[in-house]
Amino acid sequence: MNVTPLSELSDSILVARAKGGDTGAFGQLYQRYVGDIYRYLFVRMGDTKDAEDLAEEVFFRAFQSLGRYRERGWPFSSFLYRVAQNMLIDYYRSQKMNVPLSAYEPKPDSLRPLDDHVIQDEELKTLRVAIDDLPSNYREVIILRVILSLPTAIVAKWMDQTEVSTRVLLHRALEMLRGRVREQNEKQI
Amino acid sequence: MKNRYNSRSDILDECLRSIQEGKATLEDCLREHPDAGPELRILLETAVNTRDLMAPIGPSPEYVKTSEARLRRRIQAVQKTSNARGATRPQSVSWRILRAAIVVLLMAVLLGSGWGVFSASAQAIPGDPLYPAKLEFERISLAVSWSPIGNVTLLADYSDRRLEEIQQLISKNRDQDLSAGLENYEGTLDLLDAALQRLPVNAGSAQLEDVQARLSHHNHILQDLRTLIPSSTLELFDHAVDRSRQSRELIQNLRLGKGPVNTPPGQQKKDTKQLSPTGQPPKHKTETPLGQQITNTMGLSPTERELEEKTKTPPGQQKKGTEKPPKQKG
Repeated sequence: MNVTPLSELSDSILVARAKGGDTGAFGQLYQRYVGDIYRYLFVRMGDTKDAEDLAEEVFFRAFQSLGRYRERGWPFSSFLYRVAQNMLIDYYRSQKMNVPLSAYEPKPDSLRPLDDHVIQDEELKTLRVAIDDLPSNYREVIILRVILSLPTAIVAKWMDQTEVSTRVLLHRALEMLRGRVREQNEKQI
Repeated sequence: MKNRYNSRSDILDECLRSIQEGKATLEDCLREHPDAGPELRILLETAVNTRDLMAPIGPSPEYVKTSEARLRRRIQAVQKTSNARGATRPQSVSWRILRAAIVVLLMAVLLGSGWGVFSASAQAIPGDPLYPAKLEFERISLAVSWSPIGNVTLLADYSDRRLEEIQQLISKNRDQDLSAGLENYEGTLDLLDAALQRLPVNAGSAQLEDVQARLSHHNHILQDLRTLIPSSTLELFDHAVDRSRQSRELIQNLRLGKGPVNTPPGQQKKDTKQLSPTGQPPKHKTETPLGQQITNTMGLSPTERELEEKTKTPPGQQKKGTEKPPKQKG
């Protein structure tokens, strides 16, 4: 029998199936978006283990809330980011503190030479500090539009902005990010 | 007049998109926009460096594998709990009596003072004062529908109505209410999709065929209507057309798929926990997602369920359609 593989089904179909209790369909959605959600959480939290733990919770919460999700022009990824953002807020509230950047522990990568490893990790740490230091809407547009490479239309919807204002926001955010990175580098020198 | 940011930010965004999609390099963009000056280079370099530094960050394949398995187990555990609750609740005599009393009461309301409003609201379209009443009557009909087939029939009828309402709004030049009409149409399709997937094993094929034919007809109507849609609503209209296509696609997949899994409440067959060798999950599953829906077989023992599926006769104790239609715009 000719059956379309799950990986070829659209998000809408998978969501409809998951709403009917199909864990396989939800598993496919998980495979599709876990990377983005993890990256989003890692940039905000700075810790591999915390990002992993919260990423799984994001998907569990998303499944529990699936009945309330209506597409209506909002892609499923936007719904997931919204859940992730809310859980991040809950996380910070429960911690009652900002995540210390010193907690950041880069993943070991045996394929890279040690020097490259150290340099790149330093750059990454500097970048994370700079992003963390941005105003929240600037930080959000950088994460969504640049790091996650989401299309402007989706970022605009997620941030409740028009596409034009999202583009302007990105422009300003990149300008500020550049300045902050330069400041960080000067401090280190 | 466009300010400095509008034009430059458009170029920046366009270049970033091209780079992200692999259609251009940074140098290509700079060549294409020589007037943008060094500022564009600096901002694009910042964006590209940021992306490249963050790109390797991702969960390890081991984590993804174990986390997905753990996630599925957690979801299934909640589903089992939910099914177990659903399996015992309707068997309670008091619950059945209460449910019957609600139906009698609703019938009395309909036959009494509500009948006049019902008749008057039948022709209402979005934006009319009586339109919310029309939707409310539909919601009540859905709530008191006992069988899954009945629910699908009702929702297919409602989707026809929503489309007719869109046609009427267009013919009456009620552009301001068109968005609400389109959203209501999509909302009804959402419910229809969910109801279709809960059809019992042997009852589905004719129903699926019927609904598929109806939605194909919708598609023809929608294509004809497109030229009459005002440009301000065109995006929403196209979204509704796409939504209708997705429902047809879902039905097609359901028709091609395997039969349902006849699993007693609270027990899940092994093959529902993971994909089949073809990568395709079983269709028409009877598990309830976390208590958000009460399935049409809720409360039946395995034997009753088997009997119900063989005879296609709703046993009367079944509760279905307790979910409410999405918030619809009046």
